[in-house]
Amino acid sequence: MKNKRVAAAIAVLAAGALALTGCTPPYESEVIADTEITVAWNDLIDNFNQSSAAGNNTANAVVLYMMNSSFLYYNDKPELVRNTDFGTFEKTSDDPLTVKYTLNDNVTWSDGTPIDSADLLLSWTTIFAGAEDAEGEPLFTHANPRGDLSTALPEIDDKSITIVYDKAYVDWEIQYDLGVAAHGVVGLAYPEITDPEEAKSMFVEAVQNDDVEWLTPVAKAWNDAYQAPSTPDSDLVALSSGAYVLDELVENEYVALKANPLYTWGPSPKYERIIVRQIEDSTAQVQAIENGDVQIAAGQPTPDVLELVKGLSNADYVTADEATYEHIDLTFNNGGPFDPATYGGDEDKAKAVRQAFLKVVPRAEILEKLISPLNPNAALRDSVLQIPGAPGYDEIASTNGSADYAEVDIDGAKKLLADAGVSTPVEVKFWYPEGNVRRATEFEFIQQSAALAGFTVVDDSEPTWAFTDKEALPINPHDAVIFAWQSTSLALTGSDQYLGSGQPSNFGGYSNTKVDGLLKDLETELDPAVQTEIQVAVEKEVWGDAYGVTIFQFPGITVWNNSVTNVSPSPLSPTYFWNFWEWAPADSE
Amino acid sequence: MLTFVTRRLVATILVLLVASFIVYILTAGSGDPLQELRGSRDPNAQDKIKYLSGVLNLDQPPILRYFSWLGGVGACFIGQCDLGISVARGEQPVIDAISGALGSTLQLVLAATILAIVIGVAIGMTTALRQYSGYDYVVTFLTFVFYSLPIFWVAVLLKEFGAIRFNEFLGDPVIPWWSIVVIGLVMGFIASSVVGGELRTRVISFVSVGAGIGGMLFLLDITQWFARPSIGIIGVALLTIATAAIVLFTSTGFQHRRALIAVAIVVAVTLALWWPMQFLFFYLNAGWTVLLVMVAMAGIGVVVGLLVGGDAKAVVARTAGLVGGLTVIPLVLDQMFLRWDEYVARIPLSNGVIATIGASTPAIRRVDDTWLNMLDSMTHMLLPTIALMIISLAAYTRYARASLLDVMNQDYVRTARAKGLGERTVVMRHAFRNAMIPIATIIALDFGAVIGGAVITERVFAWQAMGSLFNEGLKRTDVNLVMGFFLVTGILAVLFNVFADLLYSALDPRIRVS
Amino acid sequence: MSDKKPVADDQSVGQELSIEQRATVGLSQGTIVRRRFLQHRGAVISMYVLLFLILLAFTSVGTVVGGTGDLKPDANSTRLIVDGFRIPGWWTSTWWERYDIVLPGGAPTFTLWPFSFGDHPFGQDNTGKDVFARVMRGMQQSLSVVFIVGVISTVIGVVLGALAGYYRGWIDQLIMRITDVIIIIPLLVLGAVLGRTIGGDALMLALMLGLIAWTGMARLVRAEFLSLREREFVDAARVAGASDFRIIFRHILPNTVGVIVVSATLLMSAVILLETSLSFLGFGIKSPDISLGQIISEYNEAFKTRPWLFWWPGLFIVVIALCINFIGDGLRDAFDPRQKRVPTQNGMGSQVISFFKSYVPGARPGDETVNK
Repeated sequence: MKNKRVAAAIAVLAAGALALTGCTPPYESEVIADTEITVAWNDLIDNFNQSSAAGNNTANAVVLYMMNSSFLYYNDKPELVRNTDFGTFEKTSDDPLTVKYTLNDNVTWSDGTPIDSADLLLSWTTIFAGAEDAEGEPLFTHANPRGDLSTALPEIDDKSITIVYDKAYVDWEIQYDLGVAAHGVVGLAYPEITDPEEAKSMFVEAVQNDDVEWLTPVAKAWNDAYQAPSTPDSDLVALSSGAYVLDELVENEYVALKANPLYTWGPSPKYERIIVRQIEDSTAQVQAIENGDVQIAAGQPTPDVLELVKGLSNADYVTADEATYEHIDLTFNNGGPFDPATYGGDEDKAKAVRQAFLKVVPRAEILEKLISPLNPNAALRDSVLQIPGAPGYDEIASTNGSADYAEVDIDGAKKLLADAGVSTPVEVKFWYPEGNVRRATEFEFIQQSAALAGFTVVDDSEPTWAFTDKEALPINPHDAVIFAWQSTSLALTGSDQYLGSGQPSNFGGYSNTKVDGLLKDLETELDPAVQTEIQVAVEKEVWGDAYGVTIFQFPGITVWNNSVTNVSPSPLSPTYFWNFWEWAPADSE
Repeated sequence: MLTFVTRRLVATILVLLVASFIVYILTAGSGDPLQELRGSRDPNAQDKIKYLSGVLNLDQPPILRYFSWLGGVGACFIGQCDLGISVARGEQPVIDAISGALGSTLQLVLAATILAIVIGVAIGMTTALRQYSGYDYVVTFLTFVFYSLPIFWVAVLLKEFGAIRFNEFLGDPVIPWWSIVVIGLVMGFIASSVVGGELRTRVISFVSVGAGIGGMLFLLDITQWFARPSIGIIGVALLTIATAAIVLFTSTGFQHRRALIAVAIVVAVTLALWWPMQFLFFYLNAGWTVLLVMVAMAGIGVVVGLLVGGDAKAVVARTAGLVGGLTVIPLVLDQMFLRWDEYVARIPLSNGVIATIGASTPAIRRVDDTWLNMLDSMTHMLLPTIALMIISLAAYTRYARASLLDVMNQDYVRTARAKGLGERTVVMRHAFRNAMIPIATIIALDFGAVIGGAVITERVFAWQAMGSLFNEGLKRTDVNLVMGFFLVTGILAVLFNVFADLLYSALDPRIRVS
Repeated sequence: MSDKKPVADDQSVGQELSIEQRATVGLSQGTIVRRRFLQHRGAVISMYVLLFLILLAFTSVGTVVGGTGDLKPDANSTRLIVDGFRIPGWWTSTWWERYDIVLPGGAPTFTLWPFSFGDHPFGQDNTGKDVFARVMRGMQQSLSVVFIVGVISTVIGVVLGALAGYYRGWIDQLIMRITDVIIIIPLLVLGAVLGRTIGGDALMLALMLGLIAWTGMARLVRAEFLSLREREFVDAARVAGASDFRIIFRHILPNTVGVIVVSATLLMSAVILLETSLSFLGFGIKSPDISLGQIISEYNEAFKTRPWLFWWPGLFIVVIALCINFIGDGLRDAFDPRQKRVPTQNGMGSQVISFFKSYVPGARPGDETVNK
């Protein structure tokens, strides 16, 4: 085995030398025979269609990332990277917004069927709710269907699709990408259709003629048939368009991928096999690294996990921000201390109380004592909308008024309360998830600091998140809640979900018509400069209203064994998998 | 007999029914199965909640839901099991989840129980025979300590020292001289305490065993055996002879000429067959080969025993048969260790072989080689089994000691001694069997504790088996999953009970069940 | 088994007194038991250790009686106080306040040479809380759980066992069927389900565990009653016109006290481990409530990096369980009338076995007596 590795390494070097001399071969697989890497993840893939509502989670996404090619991916900055080896896309018109996607010629599914416009059309149909049943509900239960964005049937030719948007849309770049194979889903729905080309043409025809009857079984297959906790019976379920194909999936244990022999586009991976093992517990992950059971692991560190990792002689690690951020939201409509109704509708008085409370939240102390030990580079998050490091963040953070809450200001808070004529102590019912040690500690910090300014912060912790269930509890009974939101993309839209009046994730009853309007404008704004302007305006409103405070990005840690090189963490999904093709055995170099 | 078993079975099944009702109602009342969805920002969450509420009949009260669940279980008798779907496992049918998980747990629980019984009874009985000796005090104290250890504590420590540190040792297997000395002294002490008797005997046993073990370790150390362990013909010979000696000692004693001859023949046959066996194991590369060889060797033993046995045919045949059956263990171990180098090359561990997670290595499962897979199972099962065993071991040691002490004080034992029987005969023939009677009942008791222990051990070692079904199910209030767990463990408990009953009546002639 | 004698009845066995019996002629039962117990060195040492631990736990950091136990800011200072009536202790730190971290990483200030405790002898956690104070508070809670469970399950077990054994018939059938049902569910499983339902509060958890852990006790007491109710002194009491209530509680029960005390101790040592296991699985006591099991499971990651967070609470769990086990062992010896140094038929062997057997689904100790 050793010898084979050396031989393979020589082959790689030779290939490299060829490249240096300028004599670039068309595509040289760099897969090294008999190499294998095992990585840890806390959950395992159980659905091979990550676009469907059932399959839309990170555990599926990370594995499918290695089994799929796409027009775009996130790198570790994070920023969007176009994968021109697979296909290209360009905006051909601003009004109406028109985007043309073109696949490269040589791309195929792992069963040899070419990837073509039928597959692109399937994606369009699912994402933009291109097929609807009699009641007008989308046939395909996409995780985030946008039936309002593009209703016109797109034009297709052999390898390309041209999508025309009904209105300008700020996030058009990340709205569309390739999904599962059209001939695969048709084959799952109609097993008697065995010829891929026939399946594709029937599908295209059905979509173009809006043949709902024929499409209904296809949609059902698309929704349900990709669910597979262990190796699926049908090969069509796990068709790959990427560097790896499924080898074996053992429920709750591991998934084994092997290099796709047909893969000739995009960067070549080095390992012949990648195995993703399910290990939930973070200490167990570190122990597995130390023992050599796995080569890469990632998670949210505790001080002890970090310490353990530091002590490993055989592993390297990086701590960095994750895309999840902690924040405190105040409740505006529950008759509590932050509700104007409590003060007979006196908006300013309620606002003064909110500002006073936020002023005594010891953000710096929380960061310094709880987060900095885990991630030395951690900084306060000063923006509601943008993740630190993303375009526009600095501008937003410096102008949005978050500076008012950078330091604890007891005297300022006292003064605000006194000026507003509010009698102290003010009782604040504060919720955090019971049993969560870090948040319990944050609560204690806040409680102690707030007491100095005349707030009695009451422990309102519960093991349940009942307040997020708007059907059961339309009005949040807690005056303040602390929890985290996770960003899954760099999309500019979506903030209305928690900032917009009456929106499903707006648990605090916050309502500001100006913010509602600005967020609506943002959705159709295509000019990046204006986008940032709008964001700044939104944030000024939100911070001015003392809506709440953001505190920190969750610290993340990625650990890898010395036997693998080129591992690099990334805050957004698929996290450290983003450059899996660069992972290489250390002894091959 | 049959009516007794049937009656007990029916009664226990009724009890199981009521218990399942209680578990169902309590679990259903412990939380909200759709909790996670309710807090979700996913725009589809509402649809999903509606859909799942429909599938799980959440609009009905738990009592009604229990009966529809029971209906699904009842359908098992006509071959159409429906244990519902699991919310926590992406709507997977519970029956699939169970069938995936049962094997690992059963392996773990059975291995731990059997080892705990065998080792625990052996230690317990030796301490009882050497009551109030230093050995007895040390062991009694240790069992108290083991008895007082939280199992997850043991598991976490085992993982650190049994896996990671031990693997580091295997990476560079040098045993320091002082630990050879210490191990030799300890083993010598144990041996001299167990053997007992005159000072001279004790010194002899101390020196011989201590030096023997120490010398063996030294030999293994300088030959770098730990780096490339193998058994080979020499190892098989040593292990077979040791097994034969233990069986012989406990059954008839070395003085029994005919038994000695019969056992010697069986050992010789085993060693003679070692070479042909290599081919057999190579070509019949499957799990049932073990069973085949075991039965064949036991058969040879019985035949030899009958031929050589003379007057004591039955006893000699039994002894020789047992020895024959047990010889399969060194033979299979030998096969497993033959593949050591291949194994080490295939697994991802950089040092050593002991795994800290899961029940198997993906890279090994791909290989179609039963013996290699057995080796893989062994390196994965070793630590969880030890963790689970340690706790039960303490209990069995105490029961066995107390039980044998009780029996040894009975009049009939005094009578046996009075009529001039040797100590070995008194203990093994007269006392042992009766002392085992209470142990038989304890087996069933211990089962509940072992299942509880398995729930924890599986979590520490990241095993995805029955215990994790329970954990996951309860965390997500996935009643169907929890019930699947309970159904399986309940049925196992019933089986263990019936087994204990049978053992009980087989051991105790006074009990004629009717 | 059928010739089991009540302890107070010693002299009635026969004229021929054994050496052991002669040694105790004329002494009251209490004296005999106490003497025998004091002869068991392990048990005596354990008893002192346990008493010391109880004293240490409650006097060091003081305790809180009543109230919700929630933390709230003090009106007059910046310190937090606990809701409820606070009895202060001699240790200066509290279990809920944060202190400046003295040594890097919160390492223990305890040093052997030169001997000194320092401010935080067991170290501090990452926010500066005093681990000694937390372990002491955890020990209070764990011991409380152990005793509450012990008392509740003993009371329930004794009453039900007595009723079943004394009245027999359908009452016995009913009670024993209930016992069978509870016993077939592994205690950890039942405890976890209940623990999740009530969620995290130490007192509630103790009550719940008490309600399910009585089954073994009930079986043992029933077995004793089955044999004792046939004895002459019971007939005598009945003839004298004593009520059933009086016969059960004044005449028979005192004769079963040995069995009860022994199995109660063994049960209590099992409870502390059960509490720990439940905490580890996340179905037991949860923060902000503290118990030894809760601390150890909160910091089970820390055992290599900050061992003081893992080892101290673990050590106390082991020591407490060990002490209770040894005391149980000593009591067993002490309550056995014929026990001298050599165990007998009714010696410690049978008692241990019958205790454990009482937890076996389906097998009831009393039944064997009938079978023979």
